[in-house]
Amino acid sequence: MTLGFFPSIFDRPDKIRFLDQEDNEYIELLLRRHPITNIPWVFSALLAILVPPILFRIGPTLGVVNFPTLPFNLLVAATGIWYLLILAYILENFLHWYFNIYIVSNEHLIEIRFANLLSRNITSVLLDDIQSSSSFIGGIFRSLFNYGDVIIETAAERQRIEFFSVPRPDFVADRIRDLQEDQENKIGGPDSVT
Amino acid sequence: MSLEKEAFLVALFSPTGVLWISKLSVVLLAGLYFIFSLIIVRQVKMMTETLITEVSPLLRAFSIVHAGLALGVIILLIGYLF
Repeated sequence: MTLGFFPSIFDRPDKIRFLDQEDNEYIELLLRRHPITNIPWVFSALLAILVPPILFRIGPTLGVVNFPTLPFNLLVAATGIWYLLILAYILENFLHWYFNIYIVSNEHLIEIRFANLLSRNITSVLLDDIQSSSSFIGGIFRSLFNYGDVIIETAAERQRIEFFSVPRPDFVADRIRDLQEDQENKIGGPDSVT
Repeated sequence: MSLEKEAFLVALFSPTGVLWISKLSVVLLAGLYFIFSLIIVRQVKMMTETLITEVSPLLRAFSIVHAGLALGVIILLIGYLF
């Protein structure tokens, strides 16, 4: 089962480029976390949206807030601020999901991570340095929506790269193995392939 | 405690004082939201430089419009509350 809107897997996208992409380099796969992983914050935001109407309806009955004593303009402004804060929460979570990506190119594995509002972390590993790639799907949701983690062991300085909650992890791990074999064939010829 | 200080505290915690503090807090929060929107502009710029897609200009435009709206909200609140 997949979700059509906001794709989280792009196979050989031709209109997407990334920082420091080399001339002869092209993107094989571009991955994000599966859209279903956004459900917790979407649900929280929906609940938060419902708070003011519920509070206005049952607040005076329960004696939590006595709205008639508050000036109407202050009440409206405070409600507006509440919705602005929800908008901030939604924006931040969406941008975090949208721009935290994994790229598999014909030469590198790249992880672009925005840890918080103003910090960016780019990790790049050569395909030659990959030692193994495996996939892991565990749990009902992950099995149902076919997403999971891809774990790549490398011989580079950073010994392990993990693609978290990406769609079709088996396919991704398989593609990385194929690319790695292609790369080995290019460098060492057919004899070097084990 | 001097008389001036005491008078100030009485005025501060009177219903009118609390109302003023509430209004100032709301405007202050709107100001913080405007700062957040500026950070979003900076963040989107940095992100779209890192990942160049067809929707990058659209996202940048959205972030700038959003910051403009946040500034508009501050002005609106000042006019509405004071």
